[in-house]
Amino acid sequence: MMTFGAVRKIVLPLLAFGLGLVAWQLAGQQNPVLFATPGQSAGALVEFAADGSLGEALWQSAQLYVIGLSAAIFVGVVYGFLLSRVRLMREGTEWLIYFVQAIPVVALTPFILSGLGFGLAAKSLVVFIVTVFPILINTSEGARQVPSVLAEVAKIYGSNERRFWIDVLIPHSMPYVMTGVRQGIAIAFVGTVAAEFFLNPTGLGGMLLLAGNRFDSAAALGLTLLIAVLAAVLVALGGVVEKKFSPWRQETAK
Amino acid sequence: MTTVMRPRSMRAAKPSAAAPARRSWNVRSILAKAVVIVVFLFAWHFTVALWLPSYLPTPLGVLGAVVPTVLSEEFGSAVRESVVAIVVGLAVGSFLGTALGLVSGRLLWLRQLLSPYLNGLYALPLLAIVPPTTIWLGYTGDARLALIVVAAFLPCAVSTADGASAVPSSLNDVVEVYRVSSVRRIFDLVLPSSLPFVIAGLHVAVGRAIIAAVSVEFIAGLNGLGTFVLLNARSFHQNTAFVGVLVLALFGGLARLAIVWVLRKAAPWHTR
Repeated sequence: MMTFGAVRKIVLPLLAFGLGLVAWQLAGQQNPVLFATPGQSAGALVEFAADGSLGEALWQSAQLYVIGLSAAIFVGVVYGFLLSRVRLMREGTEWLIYFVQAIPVVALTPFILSGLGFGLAAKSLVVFIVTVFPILINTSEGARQVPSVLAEVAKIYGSNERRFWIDVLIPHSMPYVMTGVRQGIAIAFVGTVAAEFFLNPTGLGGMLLLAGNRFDSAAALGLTLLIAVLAAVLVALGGVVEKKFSPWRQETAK
Repeated sequence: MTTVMRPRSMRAAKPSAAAPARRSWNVRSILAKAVVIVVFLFAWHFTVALWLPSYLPTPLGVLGAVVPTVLSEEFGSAVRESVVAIVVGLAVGSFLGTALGLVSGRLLWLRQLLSPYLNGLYALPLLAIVPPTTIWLGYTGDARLALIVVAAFLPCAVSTADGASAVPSSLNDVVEVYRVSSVRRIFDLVLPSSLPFVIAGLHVAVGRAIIAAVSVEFIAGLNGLGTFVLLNARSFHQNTAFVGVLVLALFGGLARLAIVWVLRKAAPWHTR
């Protein structure tokens, strides 16, 4: 038996979603040029899927996403651990990280475009820059919160740096690293769309930008909705990854 | 339930980071910072000089461009355009978002009703709503303002709702026992106790508002800092363009500092 609360938790969002669809349909019938109806938008997506352009766009976006995210995880985690262990490095570079993070990456894209062109490498760089900071900051924060008792025990028992990393530092910081990875999974998608908007229009972002440029509201709305669904899936995936890889985390930092 | 809720913010926990930083202002750390600055600037200079096209910004070039750029009429009008749009959009969006967050955090049915929209839009890359918005509102300042409002609204609404729904239950019981009216409840209980979440939402909102402004200006070619950067970068005045980027970063930093300052004045008990 489901309780009233559990039923409501499912029914109300669905109801809101249904109302939204109805409102969208009515708006589309009022002004078909500006608001394509849900049916027309879905039709535009089906057309893209049928002629293969949607599949190709997804593949192009996936490449950027995976390359940029993997590089960001690797660099962010390694650098984050180093920051926590090498005091001089932390004192020297940590403030710079916060400073660089304040620069809106979108505003850097013209320079990346003219310096590196618009190939896969340049675009992946955009994804990387957007993604690396949350991972880096969460990792170093977690690694710094290793309980001093553990660190002292390791020291007393003559643990060398390598064993300390394997036995204390990495296991302890894992939940924090995974929080960073969760944020990275979500934000790398933002970076992917940004790269495709502002370097040259390829992939899903490029398709959407071009649809907007030719005032094709059916395609633009359909693609925006598709991107929304993908983003929601990635956010959910990030949550699963975070839970899966750090079952021993004690507090929930949402 | 003893789970600790923390604001969802891109930043990790601040307090623990601040404590060691204060201790580390000694000669060694100043020296380390100086060395890093020098190495960073040299690396930047020689990377451009040796491997990249020479029209890219260099440290010396940017330094030389600062004064002429800041004094130029063109730059002044671009800054005015963008800053006014960002400040107005941030004020409207964060006010509405925080208000909605406070109310929906207290009313479960409203939160459930709104969840597909708030959480969906919050997860959606903001850039993806730029093309539909420019279709609806044209390549105009209205489109820019609307997107900045949305960009500021979402993180404030989501974060504040998180905070408002996590008010300690003992305090909830107190207002229940004293039969405090629901308006007073919001201002005397919910708002003060969810302030850290409100601030976390504002922090994210500042960054997103700036990105929204720059993105719309890039796509729609509106007068503003984004277009200033783009046009100068395209016409090989990249040092000048980079000054625009630095001003954007500075603006974001100052806006965040101002938020923290207001919090300190308004709610001294939240600063550790």
